[in-house]
Amino acid sequence: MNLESRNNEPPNPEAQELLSALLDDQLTSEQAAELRAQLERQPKLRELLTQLEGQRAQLRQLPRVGAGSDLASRVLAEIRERSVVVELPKATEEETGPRGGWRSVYLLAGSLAAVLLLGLFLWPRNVAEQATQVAQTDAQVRRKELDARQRERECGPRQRSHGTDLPSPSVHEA
Amino acid sequence: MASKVMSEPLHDESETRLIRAATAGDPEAFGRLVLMYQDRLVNSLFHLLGNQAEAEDVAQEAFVLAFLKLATFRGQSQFYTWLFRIARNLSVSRFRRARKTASLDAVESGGSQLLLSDEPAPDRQLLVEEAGTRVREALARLSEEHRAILILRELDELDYDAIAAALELPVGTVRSRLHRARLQLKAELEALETVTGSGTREKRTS
Repeated sequence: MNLESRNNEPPNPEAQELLSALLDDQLTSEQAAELRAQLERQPKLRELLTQLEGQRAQLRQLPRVGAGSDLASRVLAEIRERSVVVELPKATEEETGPRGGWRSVYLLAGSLAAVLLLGLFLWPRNVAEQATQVAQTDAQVRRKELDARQRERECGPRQRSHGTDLPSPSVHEA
Repeated sequence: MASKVMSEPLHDESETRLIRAATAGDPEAFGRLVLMYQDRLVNSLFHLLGNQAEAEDVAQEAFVLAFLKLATFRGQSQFYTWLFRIARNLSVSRFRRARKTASLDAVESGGSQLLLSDEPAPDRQLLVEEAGTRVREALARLSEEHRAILILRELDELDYDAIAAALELPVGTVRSRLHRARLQLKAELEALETVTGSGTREKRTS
């Protein structure tokens, strides 16, 4: 592994990465010995190591921030709340299970029965009304025919006027 | 910002027992797990998001989700790294939502700083005079992935394997990304120092 660079040049990238690994105690003893030899010869590399060590010290001296005193309570409260939310669909499912299904069947059957009863109640009235109307119409027709025959018998065959009266079937038959 | 003593984590056996009890539906056991990790998680989220209220909200949501998903925790990684992974995914979702609703100007000024936008705008001069605040400022300027890896390594002091588990990355990627993050932070700190220097010079001449 060639880690050499000239005194005035910045350390090569491979040597720089090894410095980082040296800081974290991640090098084998051989790698560490070779790097330390390079450090003796290269002031820029030494300077970089000093900077990285100072940077680490600064990071580790950053003030620690703690959690609020009630974080654990809030976590447990939310866990309970979510557990309730998770259980709710189960309860709904039970309600819409077999019992709920029968309830729907009963409702449908009841609705159908009501429609049938209403139909039966209304049906005779309609028929009667229609029958009455038909009977009334027939009676009127028959009465007109009788009147026409009566007039023929009393006055003899009527002379046809030019298109003012409608011809009656009895006139044509005669 | 009040500094608090971090909760001391229990040893693995106690933690495992609590996780088993919580998985079986014991909320008290889960409450103890929350108490064990709440300060550590909120601290990491605070530096990740740059805002304490956001950090607390995300931590709360992460703990709730962790409880609901506890049956899927196989114990192959540390509980904290698993928890952090949940919290980080929530943070990333919030970040994306914030980016969608942010103005075009805010987007152009740098996505990683969006979640800091609801903090009162500090006097820049005062900000850079305090070294700790300057580091925070530099950290906030990093990309989210660089900020996350530095927090896990330098603040949570996780080893590479644990970081790999928390960020779902190969260990080799952890090493290279961590190094790039350090170089980026160094560049940001130098840029802030330059601003401080020029600001100080302007102050002296006026």
